[in-house]
Amino acid sequence: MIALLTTLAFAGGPIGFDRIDLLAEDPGTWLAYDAGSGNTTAIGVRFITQVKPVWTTPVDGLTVGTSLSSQSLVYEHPLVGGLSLGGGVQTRLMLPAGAVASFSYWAGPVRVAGGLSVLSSASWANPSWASWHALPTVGLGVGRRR
Amino acid sequence: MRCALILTLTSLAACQPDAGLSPAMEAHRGGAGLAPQNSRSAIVASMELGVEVVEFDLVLTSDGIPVVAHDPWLDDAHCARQDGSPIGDRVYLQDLSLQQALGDYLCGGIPDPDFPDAAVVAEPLMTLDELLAAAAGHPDVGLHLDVKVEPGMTADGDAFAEAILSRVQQASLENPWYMSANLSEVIQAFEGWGEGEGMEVRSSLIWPRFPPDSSSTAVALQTELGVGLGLLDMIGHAERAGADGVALPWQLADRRRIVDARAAGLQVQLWTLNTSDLLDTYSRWPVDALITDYPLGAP
Repeated sequence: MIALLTTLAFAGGPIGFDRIDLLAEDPGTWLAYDAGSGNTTAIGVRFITQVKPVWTTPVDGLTVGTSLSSQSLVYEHPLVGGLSLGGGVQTRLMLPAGAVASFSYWAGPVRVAGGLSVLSSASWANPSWASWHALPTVGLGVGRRR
Repeated sequence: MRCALILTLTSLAACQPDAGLSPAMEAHRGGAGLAPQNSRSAIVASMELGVEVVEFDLVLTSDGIPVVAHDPWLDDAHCARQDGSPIGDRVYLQDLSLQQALGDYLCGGIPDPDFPDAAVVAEPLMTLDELLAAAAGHPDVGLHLDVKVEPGMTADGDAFAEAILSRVQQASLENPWYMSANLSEVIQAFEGWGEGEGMEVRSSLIWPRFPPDSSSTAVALQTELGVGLGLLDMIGHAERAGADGVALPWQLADRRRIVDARAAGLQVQLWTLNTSDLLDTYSRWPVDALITDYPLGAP
């Protein structure tokens, strides 16, 4: 993952701002577990940690997302009428922890998405991929006008 | 199944099935909503009212006697001298013999602003021996012994293990019980003592550790970020300590991590839930116990 990103950084061409996801498809745990928990403190803190700035790369369709709770590398392929299908890997500080796939649609500067996050509990503190959760995800972002 | 209707689009994602467990209710500090925390009055009242589990804290005196107290010290927040005069500077229990602790100080006679409806009763500290004798009359009441080892302020885990477990062993209780601590080495000391004596010790790691006088908000935020970034691991920490469970504050409860903890064979306790809404919400989570100051019903 580190090697890939380093390669992209040196590949030439711009790395630019694409959007900021107020609701990020990865890791998808905020909506699935926290939003309805009644724990207002955790709801707020965990919401902030999943807000994700997303960056374009020199490779068309390939983006890098960088929230506190997940860093992702996602490729989106346009389908029809503004609809795209994307998939990629999600990490915890560059340690691969899961995958994400979603359909997305840009309506002007607003991007909405829906899909699936498959997430393990793996982290640098516990590099074990024994436990997995599959979660429906919803994404809501604001970015470059399309 | 209860679903949180946040937004129409997200309502399905926010649904969580009820866990199907029925968490035990533990009376925190003996039931601080009933009577002074960690007091004889609270603990005996909770036992007589038939609470499922009574949780209480233990500290050692200078002569190695376990007494029921939350902090390694006595101070004006909860205690006074026998003549009613204030204590002034903290008096550490490790500097007091049992005779001094019971003879020179009374605790519980100062109204607790956190529990305005609790009884106010000034009385000497309760010893573990006295508590175990009371528990013998209520064998269905579980006991949660929260061991308060603080480096530099108390004896070490081995001393606590010897003092506490020898008494529990001698009491030959029918009551189910387990111990907890916020230091791995204390868990290991208790597990080791038990293994040496052929005594089963069930333990729970209190996580994260909140050192005395620390900012609980700062520790909680630091923990939240550390876990989110994958730099802290609650399950691994409990497993390395050799604990059978983990007790965490409800504010840091994360359903996914709790599910993973239980899948790893750990029991999970949440503390301290003091409203009916919180108890109702978290009673549907996959946890083994909810620790509350109001074991018979929160406001």
